Amino acid sequence: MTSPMTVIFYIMGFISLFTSVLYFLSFIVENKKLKAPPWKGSLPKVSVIVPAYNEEKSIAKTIETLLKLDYPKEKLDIIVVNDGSKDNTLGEASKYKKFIRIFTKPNGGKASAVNLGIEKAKGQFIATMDADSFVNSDALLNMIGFFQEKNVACVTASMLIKDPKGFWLRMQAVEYAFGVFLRKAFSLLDAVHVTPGPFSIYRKTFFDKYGGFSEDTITEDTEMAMRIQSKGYRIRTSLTSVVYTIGPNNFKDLYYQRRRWYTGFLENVIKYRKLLNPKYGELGVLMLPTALISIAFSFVLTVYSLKTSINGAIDLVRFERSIGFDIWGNVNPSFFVIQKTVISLLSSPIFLFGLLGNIAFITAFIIVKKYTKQKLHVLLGFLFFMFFYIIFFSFWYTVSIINIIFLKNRQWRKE
Amino acid sequence: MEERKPQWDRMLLAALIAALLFTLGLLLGHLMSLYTKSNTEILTQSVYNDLMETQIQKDLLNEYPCSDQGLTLLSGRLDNIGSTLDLLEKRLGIENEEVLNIKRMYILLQLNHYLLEEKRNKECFSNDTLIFFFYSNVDSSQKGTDIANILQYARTNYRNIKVYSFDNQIKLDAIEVMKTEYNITALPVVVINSKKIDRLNSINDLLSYI
Repeated sequence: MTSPMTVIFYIMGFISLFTSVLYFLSFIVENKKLKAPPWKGSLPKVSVIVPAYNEEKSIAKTIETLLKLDYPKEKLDIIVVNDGSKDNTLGEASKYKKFIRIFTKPNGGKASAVNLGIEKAKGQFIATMDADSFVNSDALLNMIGFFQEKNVACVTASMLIKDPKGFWLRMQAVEYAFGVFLRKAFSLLDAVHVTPGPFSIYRKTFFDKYGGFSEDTITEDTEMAMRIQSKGYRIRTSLTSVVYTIGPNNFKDLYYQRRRWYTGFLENVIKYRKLLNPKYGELGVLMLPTALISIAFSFVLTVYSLKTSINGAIDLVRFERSIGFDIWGNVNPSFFVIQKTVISLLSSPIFLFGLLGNIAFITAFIIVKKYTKQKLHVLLGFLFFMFFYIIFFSFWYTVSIINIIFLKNRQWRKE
Repeated sequence: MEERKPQWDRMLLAALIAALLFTLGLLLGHLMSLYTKSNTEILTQSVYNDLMETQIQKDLLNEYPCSDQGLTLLSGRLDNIGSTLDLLEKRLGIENEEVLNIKRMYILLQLNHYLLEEKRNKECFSNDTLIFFFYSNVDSSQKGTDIANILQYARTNYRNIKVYSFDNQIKLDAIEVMKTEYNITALPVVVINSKKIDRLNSINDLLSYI
């Protein structure tokens, strides 16, 4: 008899297959929309806002990459908003004061810093740029063309991890590279639900009409994306515009980041629950429901995997103890055993779906590499990602759900 | 606000392709199961042939009692059949008729091997340790699994240890005689060199009986 877990695996297998096929199909059908059309006429003025709180280590490099943007200098308005930093952020930024504008305010959080920048901005378009991120020189030119479509309110870049070394960063490098593919697929389906801090560009008229970033939420970028969607505007993603960001390189920092992201995502799904409606297109009927189902599935899968792994580990330890921990003594990999194992695996549809999923995953990396023209550093990270990511993913979401229910630790550190 | 309509046609196409891939996955899994089943028939024939061959080996060993080439070959085949049986039990179930048939022949093969080993032990002053393992697959227990693992380890690492496993589901007169002989009433039980052992928690326990 088929077990309930097998049924759940089959259902999720089908949903994953369906969404993956839809993404790849969109890449094929919308092939001409993968790159932005060149801007016709004189390029518009763009303000780039860099909110900074205690970013003395990275802000100079961030500003330098902005100054190297392949865009007419007179059309570029770089604004640094020092959000009450306690370190030498202001000093580091001031080294470039000939080329940029700097504003200082008491610490009030990222959203408030960006909002001050919006207030001071002179451009028709406004880019946000985290002070620990570095943009490639052709990024802006490759993005601006998307705004020729009148109802596009935001264009996001392809975000990758800077210098991924070690377990945590390598795992994130895979996640981000795959995220580039996913965000583009969402963009082709008009279903982007987050506009990340590192180099997302907004049409200023949207802020004029609907206000700046929300200071009440812990993920202002998710709130903004959902607000844009709820007002019927579109969000595009530029595959060829690359921005690098510094990821957390230890469990603790990653834990805080993800708790904030996922709690913020769930809060905003609740806030914008009206988006779960066919009149919001694929976002309402597919992407948001699938995201919620994936969260639930990852939780079930983790509990199941942990239970199986713990039982397996207990059995293994008992057995190893019984043979005096002669670890290699019982390993006898004959051709016969390998052949039988392969046949056994191939007889399992779940294994075959997993195999197909990995092929899709690798194809996504090939697409991302082709368009971003960057080294993705995903080989080793791929293994980390395969074995550990889903466990962390469900752990973070579990913590976030508990966070929402018990209303604890939801105050975002003012950075 | 501009109302968006989901692109149902694209989603439908994606659903159809996904359904096709999904069905292909199920079909391939099913084909591999069929392949495993067809392997069952080949295996049945192979075990039957081995059984016949042991008769010839018996005659040969009567003439050359101390040649161990034939027995080594048979030991290897026994190991392979044992592993395949494990796989078949997982794929087709422990109560599958075909699996039980192969197991019945496998036990006969083991008994023949045992008789040949015993003969060699006596006539050639060989000191192989012969172990019987009586277990029940239907009423399997953690204790049974642990003992099976220790015996598997012993079989892999000590060439002079021969293990013969007997599933309680297979009713053979010879087995029943052995059970009476060793006064076996509850399972699992291990008999090492004709001594019934109640406790086998580690490889050291096992070695202490040799």
